[in-house]
Amino acid sequence: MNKTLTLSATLENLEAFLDAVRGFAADCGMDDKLLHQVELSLEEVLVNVISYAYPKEEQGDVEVRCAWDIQKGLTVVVVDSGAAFDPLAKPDPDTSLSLDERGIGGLGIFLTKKMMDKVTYERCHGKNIFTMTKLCPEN
Amino acid sequence: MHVEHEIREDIDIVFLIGRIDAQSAPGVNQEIATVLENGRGKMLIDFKALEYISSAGLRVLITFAKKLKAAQGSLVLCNLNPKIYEVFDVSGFTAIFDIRTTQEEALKTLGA
Repeated sequence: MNKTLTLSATLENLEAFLDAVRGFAADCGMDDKLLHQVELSLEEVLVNVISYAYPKEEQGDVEVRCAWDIQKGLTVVVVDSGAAFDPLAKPDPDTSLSLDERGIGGLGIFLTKKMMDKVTYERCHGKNIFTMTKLCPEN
Repeated sequence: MHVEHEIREDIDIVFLIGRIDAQSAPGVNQEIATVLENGRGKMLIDFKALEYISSAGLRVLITFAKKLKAAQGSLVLCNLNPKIYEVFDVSGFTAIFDIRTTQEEALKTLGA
């Protein structure tokens, strides 16, 4: 089973992407808790693309592909043709800091890394390709 | 996504209703800012009707936590569902926010 959705990388389309992947994963039998983790992880990746991939004056697309495999579980791939950007290169925020010491941001991709079982990034033929996998325990 | 607000004694109770994602977070930020501006420094945020929060929402919350602390105010959260609690935990937010199970408990903490 698989599904692909390509829309322009704007905040207005965020909901459409999340709905599509949530629906697909639910159809594959993913439980509520895992669905939530997948949705959150995807939002964080997409928001990075929406915010940074393309210059403000340019409209660019982002493609989200999902696939289900009995052994691998759910795989979601996010592809954009924007500026080279590896979200995994950023260091993790220090989550042990006090309120005063904590920065305001920096949590996005960290949450994705924590909530998904495997995440990879590659740059290929002018595209950023971010792949994440969520295994499903009942497999 | 919308925000409701009630005042009980000198405490501002903010109800988060729906989902906070990158699109709705700025609106939530604005609404809480308004409550803070007109309030007396004691805020309770009730998550009972909140289904989802992403890092955009967490950013809003930590911003207000810092502002309230700087103004010698208090912020307590309550009624986080297990999925949202997990997000807070992974982020290290369970250590820096005062999180209570029920609204009643949260109100007591704020002196009601």
